[in-house]
Amino acid sequence: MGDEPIDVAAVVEARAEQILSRASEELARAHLAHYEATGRGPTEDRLRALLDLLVGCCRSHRLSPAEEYAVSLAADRRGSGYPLAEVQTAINVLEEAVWAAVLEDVAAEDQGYVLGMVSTVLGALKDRLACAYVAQITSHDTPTLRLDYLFAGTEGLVGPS
Amino acid sequence: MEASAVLAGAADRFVNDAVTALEHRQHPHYQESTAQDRRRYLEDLVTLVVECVRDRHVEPIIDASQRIAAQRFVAGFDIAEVQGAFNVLEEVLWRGVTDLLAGETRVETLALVNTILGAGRDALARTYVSLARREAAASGDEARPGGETAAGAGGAGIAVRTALVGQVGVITLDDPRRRNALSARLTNGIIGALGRLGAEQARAVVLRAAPGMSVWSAGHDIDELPRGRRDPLAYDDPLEQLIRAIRTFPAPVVAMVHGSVWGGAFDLVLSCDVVVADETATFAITPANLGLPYNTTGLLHFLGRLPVNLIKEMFFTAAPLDANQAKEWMVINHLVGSAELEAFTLALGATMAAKAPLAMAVIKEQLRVLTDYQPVAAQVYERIQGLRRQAYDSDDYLEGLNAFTERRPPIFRGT
Repeated sequence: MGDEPIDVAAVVEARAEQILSRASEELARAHLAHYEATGRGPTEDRLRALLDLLVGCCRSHRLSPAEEYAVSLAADRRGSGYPLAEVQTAINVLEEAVWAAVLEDVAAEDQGYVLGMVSTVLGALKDRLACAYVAQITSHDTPTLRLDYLFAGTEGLVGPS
Repeated sequence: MEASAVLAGAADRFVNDAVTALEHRQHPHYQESTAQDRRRYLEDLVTLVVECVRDRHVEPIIDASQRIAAQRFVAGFDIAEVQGAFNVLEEVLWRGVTDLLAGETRVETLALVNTILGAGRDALARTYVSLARREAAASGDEARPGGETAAGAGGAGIAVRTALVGQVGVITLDDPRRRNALSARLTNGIIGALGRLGAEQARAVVLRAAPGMSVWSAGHDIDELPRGRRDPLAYDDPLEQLIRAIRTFPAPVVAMVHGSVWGGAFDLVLSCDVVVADETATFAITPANLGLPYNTTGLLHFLGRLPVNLIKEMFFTAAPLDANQAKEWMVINHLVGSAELEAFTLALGATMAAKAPLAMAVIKEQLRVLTDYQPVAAQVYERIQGLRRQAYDSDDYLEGLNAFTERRPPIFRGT
């Protein structure tokens, strides 16, 4: 990796259409009952919203938008009867599509950085989504993880001072 | 050098870093555990991830994550605490891979670590949600029923009971109204019960139906099978999850059978370590009645236990074996009188519970790994999946489900 970290948001944004197309096909291939019932068009809109969120988090280096989105996503999807596994799958296919695009576009020395950031955002979103599902079932708040220093890399292991 | 070997060589460093990071997170339940326990937990996870990288399989981490989730849920951990330990490990491994590997190997290994821990975290989350639902349904206070498949939810009573007799755990299937059909609710209940008994250090477990039932289990809940265009016995099917939980439970699981065992319940019984039955026991495997293509791992369970000519006859006729035939074909280890069934089974469990638990756990795992080891070329596996898909996408499959629901004989046309 060079002195300046690569612009992850720009990398993802540049391949957005290809990523969405691939994710949409993979999601259709998974034959998830609730997504199939929703239909391909609205499902593609949702994938686009998720990708926009990812780009925004990568650009701002903030995870809170992903966590906030996860809470509203859980409320909406669980309220509509989506099992957690289906929502996880939708996020996973988007992540796989992003990875595929990154591996094609980004120099080997930068791939780890880009993939790390993408995984951190989507991992945080999925973790918060699961917390929100549990919280809705049990009617009490589940504490969130402290993820604010994840973007700092593993130097964050010692925690904020 | 293989990436997994590099990671294995640095395992101590990963564990040290993860222990330090976990302590900084100050999760209350981890803080209450001893430093030795925390270290052992992270050592086990690191070892597991390295094995998954080496074998390029995610199933072991999925199985372990489900067990961890069940144990932690029972122990009162918030899901965020358990996720935190996984995240700590992911950060440490990510950093380790970046430091120790280069080029394509680094990226490939990062992808593997991400996939493996992602699969583990997903399984952990699903198990937590499933157990939370079960608990809420049992207490009748689920905030918003719906969402996850709500089989039997809504205050229908607890279908799984758990007890500890000495060091022998007893799990009782108690859903007589549905003849112990293996619904998501019942199977998740059993997985949760295994988790609780594991946390309570049960050294053996007996799996039984409630006293007085003439059906041990009616098999997979037909109402929960997808109606075409989806694999009806996919990896995440609740019954498949239960079978894996039993096969990987680190102590002997004894099936105590009184009454008839149907369909997927037969797979479940065969996946137990020992089977004790009385003269009322019968066993049938019935996918041909439904037009349902059985899954490959399920067939492997049968192949690991029974001769192939018997398997074929049972699958092709769907006719039940009676208790004597079952004993003759070694489906069951012990055939005892109804009056002695419970005492005999508990005594057998107690005998095993008195033996060395670590040795038994590892022997069980060795046997599982050895009997599961079936190298199949990717194209062969894909061909089998393609064939199965033809069957579950067929009109015959829908006809089988419809006929079952309408209580009439199916009319299969081979299309």
